[in-house]
Amino acid sequence: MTFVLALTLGLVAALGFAGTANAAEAAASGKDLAPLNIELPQPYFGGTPLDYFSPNLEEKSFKPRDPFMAPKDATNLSKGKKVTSSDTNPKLGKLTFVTDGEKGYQNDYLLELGTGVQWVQIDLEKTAEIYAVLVWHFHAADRVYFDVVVQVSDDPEFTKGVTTIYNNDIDNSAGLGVGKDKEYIETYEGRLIDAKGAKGRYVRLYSKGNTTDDTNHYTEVEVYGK
Amino acid sequence: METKESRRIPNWIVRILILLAVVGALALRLPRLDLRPLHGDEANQGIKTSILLEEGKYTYDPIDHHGPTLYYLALPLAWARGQFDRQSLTETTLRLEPVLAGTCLVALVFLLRGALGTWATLWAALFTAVSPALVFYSRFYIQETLLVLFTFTTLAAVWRYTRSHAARWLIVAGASAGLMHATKETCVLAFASMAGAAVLTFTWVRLRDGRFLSLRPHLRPLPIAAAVAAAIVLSVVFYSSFFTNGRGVLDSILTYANYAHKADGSHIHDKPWYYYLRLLILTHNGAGPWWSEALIVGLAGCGAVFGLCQKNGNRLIQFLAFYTLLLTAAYSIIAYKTPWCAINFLQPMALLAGFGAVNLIVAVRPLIPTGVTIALLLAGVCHLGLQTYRANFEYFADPRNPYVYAHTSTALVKMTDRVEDIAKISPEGRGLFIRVIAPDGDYWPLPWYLRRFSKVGYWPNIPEDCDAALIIAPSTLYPQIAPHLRDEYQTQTYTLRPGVFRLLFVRKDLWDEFMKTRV
Repeated sequence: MTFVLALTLGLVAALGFAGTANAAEAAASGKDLAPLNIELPQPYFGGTPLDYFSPNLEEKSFKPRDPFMAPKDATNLSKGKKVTSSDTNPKLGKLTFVTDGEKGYQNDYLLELGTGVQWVQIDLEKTAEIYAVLVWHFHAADRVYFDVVVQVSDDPEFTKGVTTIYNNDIDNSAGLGVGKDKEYIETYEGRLIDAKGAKGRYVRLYSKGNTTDDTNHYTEVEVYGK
Repeated sequence: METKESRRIPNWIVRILILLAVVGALALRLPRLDLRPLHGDEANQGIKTSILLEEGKYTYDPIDHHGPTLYYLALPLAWARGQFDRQSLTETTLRLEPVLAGTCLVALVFLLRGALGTWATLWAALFTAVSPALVFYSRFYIQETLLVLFTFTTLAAVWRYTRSHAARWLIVAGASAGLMHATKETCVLAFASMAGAAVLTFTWVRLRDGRFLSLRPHLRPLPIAAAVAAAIVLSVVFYSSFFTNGRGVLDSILTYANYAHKADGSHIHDKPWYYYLRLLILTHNGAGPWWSEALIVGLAGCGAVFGLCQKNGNRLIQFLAFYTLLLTAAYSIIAYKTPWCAINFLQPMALLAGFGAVNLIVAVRPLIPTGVTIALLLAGVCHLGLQTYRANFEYFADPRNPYVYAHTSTALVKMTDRVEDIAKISPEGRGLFIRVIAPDGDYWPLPWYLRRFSKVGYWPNIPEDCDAALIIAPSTLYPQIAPHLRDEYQTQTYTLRPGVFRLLFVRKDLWDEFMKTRV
């Protein structure tokens, strides 16, 4: 009985530790932490459920996302910042949509890039310590975007000093290396990527089509840091 | 029947304009024919064509396929391009046939120049050349564009015969009617609409103009007998697979029992009566452009009204107005609907639209200067051209394009590329064993895309021993398939059609070898 109790307490302690890992790391470096204040758009109720399966697909969670702990003075650095892209002539929307703060599911806020590997890049205007990148692709229906890769660098060409903070391309089809992150289904919560304090002035997000078509979409990207 | 206006245009200018219309039609239809993946129906017909090409075998199937002309007429194009088997036959070669048919549709409008007048003919040719739907389905390896071409040729040739009484036109009409029958079963709708339109035209002329139209001067036994013979001979030649399958001729008649059943509703392709009109007038699917061929539909309406209301009006236009109306109604009443059927009545609408455009320009002249009206109409034509570009080169397989219907996803081509990648590193090359599991029979267009592989098998159920170098199966079957596998696999998911996914299982040793080529 004592053994079972000890095991249970041990497990609870371990889970608690894991759940606050980013907080612990930050606390160790002497930073005050607080949950990121993320404003979520309205969820869209409708559309056909996605009948997609992949062993690399993250199971859909029906619970709200846990708060993300970051230093208290972390803010959204990307709001209103300049956006460039591999597709200079988007099929729909404007590049400014990516950082304009509008993240509703409505088509009015949607940027559509062409087919194949495409990227958008945000210029934060100065080198920053980045804690989280939050990205909404198209979220008015269940979709999985392929080969999602997010990188941070001080080089606008991304040829040197590149830190990859997310990569779910299992076969290097985007040509940026093999990644071990999971594919996921888009929701109104967006995808929160732990940047672990990566430093850089530019944030670049790649994708290569989705489960509906070959095009690439962005509704909003928020980069939290300081 | 020449108008004063048309007589003022020198013939050499008309010839240049005809040439421009035809070249323009070809320029919109011909480029990048391999851009769009093959639709399941195209793939199915491509495989039938490849069998005919390779083995010389074709047997008409009265249950689930259409007439034989599509396959036989593809052969000369394949031979001309040096393609003699399924390995070498390409999507471009298959689609060249409807491209040529669609271009001929533009050129043949000039057969009616004497009836429509030169300007109306030129407008009609322009609308036919740039219509998004007519261009889209001229790049689609199905029977529809051929059927529209043969139907129009029949109508035009009969008209020419009634003007000249030259027997050759009636023989052309008979031959075209035979080819209509040998192309698609729905030719009966066109035949019925032609008959109905003739009766209505005669009645209209009697009521409107107080005149009797008589068929008597046109009833010449020998030309009529020759036309009927031409129709029967061509139909029999094709349905009997060039006299090797007599049963095909009988089946070409018996098939109507099957099609009557399809038309009666309760089918996945059933749609409301207004489906085609909405499709042509205004469509907006999700984020993306609005689509409309309302200019053609609207001008066709104008053309019909002008033609019917004018005292001693244009008889051909009156006939076309009734014919188009009846054919549109027939396709709309039938519950079974697919978007390509719309081109059957869109093409005569384009003819009426040409007539409508010219008459509209004249009618509004007191209010709007001719140059302004022409500029507005040309702006509308440019908008049609823009939509045509988008439909064929941007949204070519995108469900937001109203003419894309249950189309194969471009991702499926990527899956085929991945299968080729694996074959390259496999010791067996294209002889590696590919197992396709499709319990619901939903595997098209895979046979086309896997046609170059020699060991491909299709299973309606999950076999006990499921292992293979590559396995392709619905993603929903993963939990059921996994217990039947002894080898390890890496899986990747690809979209077959929007919302329909296929898992590609790659045996682990092949995957590991493949990944060595990826870093």
